[in-house]
Amino acid sequence: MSVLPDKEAIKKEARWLAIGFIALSIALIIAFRQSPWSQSLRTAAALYWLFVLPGYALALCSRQGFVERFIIGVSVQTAVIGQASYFAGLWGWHVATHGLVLPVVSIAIGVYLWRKYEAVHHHSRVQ
Amino acid sequence: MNKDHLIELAFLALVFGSLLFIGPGAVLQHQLDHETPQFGAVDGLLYAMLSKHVAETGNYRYNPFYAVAGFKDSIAYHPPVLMHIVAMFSHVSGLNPYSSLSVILGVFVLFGAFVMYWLIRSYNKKIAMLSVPVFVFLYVFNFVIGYIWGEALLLMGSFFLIALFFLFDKQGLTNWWIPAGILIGATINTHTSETIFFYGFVAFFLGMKLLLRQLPKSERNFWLKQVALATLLALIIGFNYLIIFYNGYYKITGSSYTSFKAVRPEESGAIRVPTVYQFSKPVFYAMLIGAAIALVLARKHAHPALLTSGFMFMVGMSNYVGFHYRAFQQRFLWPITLALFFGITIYFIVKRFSAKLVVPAMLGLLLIGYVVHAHYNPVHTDVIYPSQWEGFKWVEQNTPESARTLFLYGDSYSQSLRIIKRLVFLLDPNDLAAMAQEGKLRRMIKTDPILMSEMYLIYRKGLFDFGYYGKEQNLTIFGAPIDLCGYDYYVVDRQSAYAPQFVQLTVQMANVLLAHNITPVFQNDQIAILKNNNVGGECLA
Repeated sequence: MSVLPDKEAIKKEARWLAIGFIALSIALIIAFRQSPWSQSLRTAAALYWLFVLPGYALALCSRQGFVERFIIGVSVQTAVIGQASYFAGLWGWHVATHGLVLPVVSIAIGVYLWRKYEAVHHHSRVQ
Repeated sequence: MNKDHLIELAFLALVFGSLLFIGPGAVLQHQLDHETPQFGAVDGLLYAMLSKHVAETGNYRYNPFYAVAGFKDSIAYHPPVLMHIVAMFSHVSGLNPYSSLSVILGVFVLFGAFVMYWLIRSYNKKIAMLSVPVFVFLYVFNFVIGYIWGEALLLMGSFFLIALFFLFDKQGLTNWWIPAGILIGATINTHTSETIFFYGFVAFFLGMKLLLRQLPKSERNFWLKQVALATLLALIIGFNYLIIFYNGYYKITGSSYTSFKAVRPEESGAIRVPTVYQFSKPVFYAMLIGAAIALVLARKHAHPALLTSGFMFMVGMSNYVGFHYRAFQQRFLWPITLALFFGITIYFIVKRFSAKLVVPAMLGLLLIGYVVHAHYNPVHTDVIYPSQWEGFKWVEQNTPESARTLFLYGDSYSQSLRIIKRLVFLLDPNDLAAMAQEGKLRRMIKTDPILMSEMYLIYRKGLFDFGYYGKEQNLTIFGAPIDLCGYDYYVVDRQSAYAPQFVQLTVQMANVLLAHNITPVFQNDQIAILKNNNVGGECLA
């Protein structure tokens, strides 16, 4: 079983996420070559903002390898954001702003849980 | 990072970059944003319309009034999650909802393929690399139909299902039941048949492990406890939609889901069902051998990757034991879920020659090249002519919300009319042909209201209490002949690629209408729109 990633590991993984973003942008630019580059970049940014970054954060404390966390995180975040948006819509909150707010909530929850687990982990290491 | 990691990274970048290019890229004609939906059948156009409805109205509480005979409180009975994901993505990406649906489906089908790759990889990295050439068949006929005809809920629901399969390889995951419960909830709220397949897989997974004596008591207890907790969480998440599903789909069309009827692919009617032979002979035989080897390998170690492929093959063939349409739908995803069988066969051939990772990587790329060269043809679908689209926009922007518009005949109208945000009707082509035979026009004609009417226009009275406008009110729009002179607008096509004889008839009909109190208000090279200034009065004498 992999251990909880520490700050250094997260910094390294952030680099991989950035490389992934560049790769995705290039792939979209090539696959949709009839569209302006800016549109492909915004599409890649939207995919990252809605699914990848919050998914990565949500899976931080799952004690798996980077790619496994990436897969689980993105899948769960897609499920979470879709269902949260449905219920938020039923309660009268217009979907137009869900995409701006809900990822922030997922990231906040992910970071909070990671810090909580990290504190316990750190405490047990010190002891 | 070592050399093997670099090889795999380059391999994956090339594979998935190429798949994005020949798949969603080609289907969307290498352009992200389109004004019209890029789907070739009614399902895709329906979900495109619903996604736009959610993006504009802000939620999916009710169906759009123009799709349910003008009722403004007929509740949404399709699973809601995909429409919300697309609406959100549309607002953040700036793409219109139609294109957003195509992009989201394209991306998540490919991500599902990546998840399957990683699941196979956890069994054997080289087998995983040699399995990917089969992914190309996602974009080969008939498999590509799932995407271009817009089996949207199936594709998204299947993505969540593949993610659930992946979790079965992650027994060590902290609180396994939480992600599993969220994903099961997502299948309920996206495409409910995948929920049933998930529980089928749980039974298959535990049953096979028990049979092969690979299920110690501690592991059995772990899975039973985690699946039970996950189910509880999923029921909480899916509670609201399950109530709607029970009172809608289950009560009204339940017999078609609960009755078992064996159907062969050639008996499937409108849907073009993929068969195993469409993998082409060499690939099919390799997969057949791979399936036999997988069975032998599973006796040693029943890895979730092996069990997933075995299970999804059986699901796809379950039409022969009565699951008819749901079985056929899963076949669209066979290029992902059965890819492992191909990879195993090639692996057992290759491993005799070299142990280096670069060999399966190069061979995987070569085989992708072969499949693309031998079987792939770019396809794109766009059933709406630009001039027709101009007419659709005119109707939306220039007619009152309550206006009723009759389309006399036009190519693909039985599919494309549902994206117009008005109450629209289509003259029954059979009735048109009958009038031609009779040699005269009738006032009382048969029309097809372009509605989502499968659930009798369901509405909600309370949490568990539902009514059905379609049963309670004497709606004359269904089936019964309707007065031709009772419409506010008429749309006449001037040309047709498929049935020019119908266009001749409808143009004659339009000329008769124009001789009465009916005036042209819009026209282009394809269509003319006529306004009825005396609704209900004489229009044919």
